[in-house]
Formats: sequence, C-alpha cells, structure tokens
Amino acid sequence: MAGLLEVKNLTTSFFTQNGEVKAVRDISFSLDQGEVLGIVGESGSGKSVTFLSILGLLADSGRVKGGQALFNGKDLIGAGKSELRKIRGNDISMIFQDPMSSLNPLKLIGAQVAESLEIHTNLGRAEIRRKAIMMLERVRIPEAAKRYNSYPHEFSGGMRQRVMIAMSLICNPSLVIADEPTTALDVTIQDQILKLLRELRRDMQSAIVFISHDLSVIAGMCQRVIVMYGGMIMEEASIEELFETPAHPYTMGLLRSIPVIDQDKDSMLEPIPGSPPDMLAPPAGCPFVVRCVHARSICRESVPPYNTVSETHRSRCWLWSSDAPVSGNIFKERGVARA
Amino acid sequence: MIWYIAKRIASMFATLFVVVLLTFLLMHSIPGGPFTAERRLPESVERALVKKYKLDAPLHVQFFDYVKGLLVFDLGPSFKYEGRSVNEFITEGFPLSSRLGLMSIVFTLFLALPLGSISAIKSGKWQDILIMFLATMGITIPSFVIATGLMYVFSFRLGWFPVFGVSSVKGYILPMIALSGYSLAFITRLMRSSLLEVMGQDYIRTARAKGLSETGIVLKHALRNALIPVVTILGPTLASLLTGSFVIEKIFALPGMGIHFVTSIANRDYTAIMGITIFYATILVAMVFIVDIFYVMIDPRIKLQ
Amino acid sequence: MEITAVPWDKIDIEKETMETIAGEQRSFAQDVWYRFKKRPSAVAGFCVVILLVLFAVFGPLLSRHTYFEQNLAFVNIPPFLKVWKIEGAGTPGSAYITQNLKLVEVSKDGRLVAPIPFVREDISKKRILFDYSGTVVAIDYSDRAQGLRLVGTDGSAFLTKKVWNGTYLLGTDSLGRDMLTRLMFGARISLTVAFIAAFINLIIGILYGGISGYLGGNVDNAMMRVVDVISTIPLTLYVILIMVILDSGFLSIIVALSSVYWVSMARVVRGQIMALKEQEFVLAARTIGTSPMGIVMRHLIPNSLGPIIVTATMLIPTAIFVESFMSFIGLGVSAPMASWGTMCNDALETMKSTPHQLFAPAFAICLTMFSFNFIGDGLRDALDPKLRK
Ligand SMILES: Nc1ncnc2c1ncn2[C@@H]1O[C@H](COP(=O)(O)OP(=O)(O)OP(=O)(O)O)[C@@H](O)[C@H]1O
Ligand code: SF4
Ligand SMILES: [Mg+2]
Repeated sequence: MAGLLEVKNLTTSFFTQNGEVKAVRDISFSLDQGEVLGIVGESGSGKSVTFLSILGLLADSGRVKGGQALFNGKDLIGAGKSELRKIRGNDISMIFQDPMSSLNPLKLIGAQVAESLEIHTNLGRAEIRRKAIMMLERVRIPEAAKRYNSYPHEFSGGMRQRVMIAMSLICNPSLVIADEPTTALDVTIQDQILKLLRELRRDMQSAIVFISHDLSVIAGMCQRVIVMYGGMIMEEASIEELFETPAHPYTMGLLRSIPVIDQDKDSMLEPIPGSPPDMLAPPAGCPFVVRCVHARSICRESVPPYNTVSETHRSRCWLWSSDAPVSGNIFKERGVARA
Repeated sequence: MIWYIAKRIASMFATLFVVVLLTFLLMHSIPGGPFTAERRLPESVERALVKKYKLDAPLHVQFFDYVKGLLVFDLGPSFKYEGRSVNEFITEGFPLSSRLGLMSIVFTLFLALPLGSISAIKSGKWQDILIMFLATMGITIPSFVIATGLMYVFSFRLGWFPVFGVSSVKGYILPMIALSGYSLAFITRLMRSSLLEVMGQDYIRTARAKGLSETGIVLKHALRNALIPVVTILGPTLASLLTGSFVIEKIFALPGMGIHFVTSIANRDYTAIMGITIFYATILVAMVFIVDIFYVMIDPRIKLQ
Repeated sequence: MEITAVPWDKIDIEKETMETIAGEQRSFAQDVWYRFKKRPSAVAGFCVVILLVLFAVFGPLLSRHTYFEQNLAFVNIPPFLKVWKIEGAGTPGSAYITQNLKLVEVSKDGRLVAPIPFVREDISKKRILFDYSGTVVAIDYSDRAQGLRLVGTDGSAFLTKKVWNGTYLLGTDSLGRDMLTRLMFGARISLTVAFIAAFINLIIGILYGGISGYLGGNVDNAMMRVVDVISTIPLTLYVILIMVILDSGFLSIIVALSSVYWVSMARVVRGQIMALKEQEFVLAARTIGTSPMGIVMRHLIPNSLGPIIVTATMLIPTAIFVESFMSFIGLGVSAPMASWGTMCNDALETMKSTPHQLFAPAFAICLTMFSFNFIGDGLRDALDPKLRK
C-alpha cells in the first residue's frame, strides 16, 4: 500500500495574550490509503489542532512552526492557499465534533451538502441536487428529497451529524478526518452514528482518521491507534497490541478508565489523577511526568525519544530506553516475566 | 406566521394604549395644564377646548373621548394657537422630517454595512483601526455638536452648503449627516462585532473545510447571518433618527416635526406636545413591528416558535 | 545529552503535583485592575475624568470670576485677541476692537484694562473716534474687504498682534460672563446630574431587576412586560414629557433622568440573576436557610457585578448626553445656572461671530463622553469572565 499521508515533525502554536500555547509538538506519523487510524487522548491533547494544522484551518492566532504533511507526496504545510482549497473538501474532508454548531443555521440542509460539489466539480445544478439527495439517502436521512429543503434547526443532533457525514463524503475524498463525530451525542445516537460509519467504511475506499477520547469507540473502528498527550504522540500501536501490551503509563491509565461491561462490579473505573499540563508552559521533559506513577528524574529533564516496542508499536517513555534499569520497571519486568 | 403577526399587532395596540394613557395622565397632572380648571386662555380657544374635550365631563369620559378622536386620527385643537389643530402641525412638519429620516437611514445603511464588514474582515489592520476610531467618535460626540461643527466648517467657513433651509437638495446633506452620525457609528460597530462573531462560528470552519474561498465564505455564509442582529436594531434606529431630529431641525432651522415639537414645548402647548408624542410613539411602534416581521422572514429559526 | 547524577531515581509525584497547584493566584479585583491598566485609552479616560472632577470641584473656587457676574463692557470677547499696537501716543499701548465696535485697552500680557472713552462717530469718513489718553484713534470701517482697522490721526493703520486673553482665558459670553468659570460650573452641574442620575438608576435597576429575576415566574413576566412597554418608546420622549411637567431645573432633570433610564439596568441585572440563580452556591445558601433577600444581596449581586458596573459606567455618558440634549432644546437647568448643554444652546445663535462660546462647552461634552466610553470599554474587557483564565 502506498503512503497517503505522511506527517513529519509537525509543531503548532497559538500566540495568545497570555503567551505561546504549544498545542502540538513534534508529531510524526503516517497513514496508508484506505486505512482507518484512531487518535485518542484527553481533551486538550492537541488532536484537533494536529489535523486543523494539516488542512490550514487553524484560528488566526495559530501558526504551524515547523514540520511537513505530505499528502500523496505533496507538502500541505507549504502549499499555497488556493492549492489547499482545491484539496479541502475534495481530497480531504472533515467531520466536526459538534453537529449543532457546525451547520449554518440559515442555509438549507441540501444546499450545504451540495456545496462541496459546486466548489469542486462542474456538474449541472440538477445533477448536483440529485447527488446530494442520494448522499442524504446513503446516510439514512428519511425522505431525503423532502428534507433537502429543511433548515438545520428542524433536525435532531443525530440527524445533523448524518448530514455532516454526507457533506464530508459527497466528493469521494481519499481521506476523511472524523473529529470526535459522536462526542456531542447521546449514547444511543452515538451507537447509530458509529454503526453508520462502519457501514459506510465497508463500501468506501477512503482512509479515515478517527479522533476520539474514548478508547472503546476507537477499538470498534480502527486498525491502528495513536495516543496523544500534551501535544505529543505518546504511543502508537495496532489495536490489539495497545489493548494487550500497552507500552506507556498514560495508555495504561486510559485503559483503566474504560468501563468494561462484563467484569464484576468491584473493578471500579479509575480516572487518571491530576490534570493535563498547561500548554503555555509545558514540562521540559515528558509531558506526563507530573501524573506518572513511574516517573524518574530523567523524565523531568528531557523529552523521551520514540522507542520501538515491536515493528508496529512505538512508545515515548523513558522506561523503554536501553539504559533504563530493569528493576522496578513495569515494562521490562513484564518482558522478563513473560520470557 | 399569521398568528405571530396577529399577536404582534395586538401587543402593538396594547403598547400604544399604555402610551396614550400615560401621556394623558401626565398631561392631566400638570398644574395649569390643559385639563385643569384654572386656565387663562383666549375665549375662543377656551371654548374650542371645552367643546373638544368635554372638560366639564369626568376624567374617564374625557379620556375615551380623546381615544375616540385618536382612532379617526384627530389629535384635537392646539392649546396655544387659535384655530389651529395639532393635525395641522403634523401634516406641515412630518413630510420634511420623514424625508430627512429616510435619507438618513439609507445613508446610514449604505455606509455602515460595508464599513463594518471591512472593519471585521481587516480586523486589527489599519482599516479596522481607522474605522473603529471614527465610529467611536460618532458614538460619543452628541449629534448637536456634530451638527454645529459641520455647519461651522462647511456652511460658514467653506460655504459649500446653505446655512439654513432646504430650498435645494444640498440643504438636506448636512442635516442628514449630522442626524446619521450616531446610528452610522453604532451600526458600523454592531456589524463589525456581529460579522466577527459569525466568522468565529463552527459553521464557518465547516465552510472552509469544504474548500470555499474566503470571499465566498463571507458572501455566502457570513453576511446574511451577521445581518440578523443589525436588523433587530433597525426599529430602534429609526426611532432615534426620528427623535434625534428635534435638535438637528432646530440647528438647521428646518420646518419639520421636531421644530413644532420644540416650539410646543417652549410654548407649553400641551395638546400639541401630547399629540406629537403620541404620533411619534405610533410611528415608532409601527416601525418596530415592520422590522420584526422582516426579521422573522430572514431568520428561518423563528418560524417554528 | 547531559543527565543529572541519578537519572533513574523515582520521583514522588504527590509532592510534584502539590507544587504545581500552589501557583500564584491573583484576586479578581487585581486581575481586573491589571487588565484595565493594559488599555491606554481606558487609563487615559480615567485620568481625564479625575481631572474633570477636580476641575469642577476646585476650579470655581480658584477663579477670579463667578458664573453669574456680568460685565456688559466686555461681552463676546474671544479667547484670542487681535490687538492693535497704538504708537505715537503719550503712553504706547494696545487696544482690542469689540464686536459692537467699542475699543478696549489691553495690557501687555493680554489683560483687558478698561474701555477707551468714545468721542464721536464720523459718518462721512466711516470712522469711530476714541480718546486714548489724549491721543485720538479711530476704528475705520470704510473698507469692507479689509474689515475693521484701528487707525491713527494720520489715517494709517496700527500694527496688529494676536495675544491670549489674560482676563478671560476662554473669553466671555454674550452677557460678559467668564466662559472658563461657567465651563467649570457647567462641569459641576453636568457631572453632578450624571453621577446622581446614574446612581439612582443603578439602585432602581438593581432593585427592579433583582426582584424580577429572583422571584421569576409570573411576577417576572409582568415586570418585564412593563420594561418592554417602556422601552418601546425612545426614552428621550419620556424625559421630555417629564421635564415639561416638572418644569425645567436642576432637580427636575435629575428626576426625569432617574425615572427612565433604569430600564436597561433592570434588564442587565435580571439577566445576570437568572443566569446565576441556578448555580450551586445559591442552592447551598437555600439549604442553609438564608433568607431570599440575603441571597440576593450577599450572593447574587456580588456575582453579577461585572456587567452591572459596565452598564452603570455607560449610564454616566448617557446622562450627560441627555442632560445636554434637554438643555439644548430649552429644557435644562434654568439661568443663570449653566450646564454644558445650556451653554451650547446659548451660543448657537451667534455661532458665526463667536464660535468660541460654542466650541468650549461642546469640546467639554465630547471629552467627557469619550472618557466615560473608554472607561466603560476598558471595564467591559477587564471584567469579561470569558477572558479570565
Ligand atoms: N484557537 C485557539 N487559541 C488558543 N489555544 C488553542 C486554540 N485552539 C486550541 N488551543 C489549545 O490547543 C490545545 C490543543 O487543543 P485541541 O483542540 O487540539 O485539543 P483536542 O485534543 O482536540 O481536545 P478535545 O477533545 O477537547 O477536542 C489546547 O491546550 C487548547 O487550549
Ligand atoms: S517518560 Fe517517565 S514520566 Fe513519561 S510516561 Fe514514561 S515513566 Fe512516565
Ligand atoms: Mg478536538
């Protein structure tokens, strides 16, 4: 499979009244055609900003300070505005978190779905309308032809998110970025939307980046997962590896905070104590250091490098360093125990 | 929609009724006022008044009589000038005032909407800073100061415009600018903040993510949404343009409603004050009503309520 | 990479966490003041208001003139004098030609000394003759293009010079009263009216809005309907009506302003109360059994202070504006008292010949309006909880 998107050392900051918010620091990953990649992390870990940077959709105060994002071999970070516009909505589309506010309240649903086609194709009006209605049908909007002329406020949250999905898929993009598409919805609606996404995925060729702060949602969708914290990638692994042999203390904390249905009631959820770092003045070393029960002196001093755990598995934790002592090291002791 | 209009009309009449009642009672409470016994008036005026207002009848009868008059647009005789009716004052003054008011609102909108939009789009740049500086001046400098300043510079010093009167179209220009000053500044600021707010909305980001150009975003997604708050204050703006005109008409010596109102005040011509106040109130309430209907038409979210 | 002596020592995270949490905390007031200070326009406005208040309070005490003292010899004198240097006389000096064609002796430092005695008018030569300590000088009005000239007996004009009026720094009005003193006195009136009216409006607004918002339900609906009806009509109209009834005067204008402008304040207060009402600390106070009034005074009002302070600040320029507006249409304080608005009104007729009489009070009004608006804007930004981290 050819690489579709390759992000190298992406670094993004916001320049605010209070100083520089270092939202994304030195992020690198790649994505293949048709692959579904999960991005997980607490609120504020830089998930959205990473992809907004790639698409050039940052707020005015945000600036990409360095790095590359090669899409089909072409760097999007350095690309001109009009070049980027041709790609947005056409080759890469995005589904946003809040369907309530992401649709223009004064424009017809249908017109909003059709808009991408108007921008990126030369199709006639009737054809565009036909395609938009077809797309609305595909995301299971009942009576799509009639609902074409509705306004967003006449739709429920779940329906609006379906519209957002229709909007993002209408140009057959090769990459869809779904930024927490279900977070703002009720649990039952969430399940319906996830089901719809899984169905659509089956008969689409698009690659999907699925952003969420919920590992269990990711588990149902993706093959590979990136765990983000404090604007950095902490761990990257296949979904099985991540659940079976998590290689980062933060991931282990996340896993402990997932409700597991078929366990006895005693195993309470354990949220990770403490709060995420202040991105105005992030810790000099590992961003997780103030909350990590395994932290060592070195973690405070310098950022851990990517350490390879297996061919498809890397972790940014000092405990994986070759210098790290084995005794009292959860990861190395686990390896010893297994051997 | 029909229900909504009916409801609004009903509340419009209720408001007007309250206004009429209030004005009537206020006028009644004036010592030496039109409806109290101890008056010293020319015989003929006195007779006209007594006849008109049935001054010997009890209060509520007088009031309903007055209201009855209002329903057929009869505001009664002047309290000061023999043989003149308040209706006459209005028919004499209102055409000029309304012309000035309409010119001002058109002038205001033609300038304020583009200026506010430019200011928002160029937020933080010199264009924005300049426009906002001017807008702050427009908001803070009272209209009579603007009017006298304009008159001093353009009429006395430069001689470009006539000092008084509206014998030519030129005569309207300075009064129009002076009258518009505040609304112009206010709507410019409102348009700016409204457009800025809209441009920060999630749906604008959605439009960007579709690959729409910045111009396309402003034109197709932002402007209409940003106009909604502007529309809501158009009613009050018309109001301020009409009432603000007292001072402007006085300075430029324009024979409009404002002048009649101010003279009536100076003359203590109570029936005229009362009649003109009610007339103003009616116009304003009607304006607000029209604007409200218009507002419902441009914002689809309201229809369902 | 340099690594400290024992890089693999475990860290006690409990302690670390404690340290990061115990950061420096600024109080709300400090925070507001800090952000307010960052806006130069707001600080400038604040300083100007302080100066204006000092000007209004102490100015009249320091002045040589009073606001009502008339000097009919020196009417309509501008702040800048065009003086004619009389030479060849026994005592050389300068003179100023007034608008009503009188001659006034002016000392070197620009002070008005005394009128120069009139001798006669020479209609044929178009001259008015005066006796300046024995020498005859004449105002020559023969040449329209050149305007008035002061000429000696030989008919040649004296030299002229511009000096600042040393007696009346801002000139005099049409009754020969000192403009500067009247301006300071006007500042007293205008500011007093504005502060008192804003204060009364604040109180009424807080009470009305507070009660309406706190009680909620039908009472709230009814009370807000009243506010709606009142604010349908431009408030200036009510003020005019009330002024007509009360007759113009200092107290009437305060009553008129105070009885109308509380509606915006009431709305703001009510909105704040509604938003805060459902928050936990109110529930907490209720469960402890604090009385409703106690909740409003001790919890709700302090917590909704921000927008209320801003609205109150903005009430002051509104009051100043409406006061000057009323005075301008003849409904202001009565003579000989002066507010800035009445001064503008008095000066309007003679704007062409004596613009200084109009510009001084107009400038004062604008300056005050600017200052209060800047303060209001500064406070709004400084108090905005959205910006607060
Ligand atoms: N416009 C902005 N201005 C300043 N800081 C911003 C802005 N947008 C994001 N940030 C900061 O960037 C950091 C990362 O934000 P981001 O939105 O990427 O988080 P996220 O991982 O997507 O979280 P969530 O789950 O809440 O969506 C946060 O610390 C946030 O405060
Ligand atoms: S590098 Fe150190 S602080 Fe960071 S996760 Fe690993 S052990 Fe914890
Ligand atoms: Mg996000």
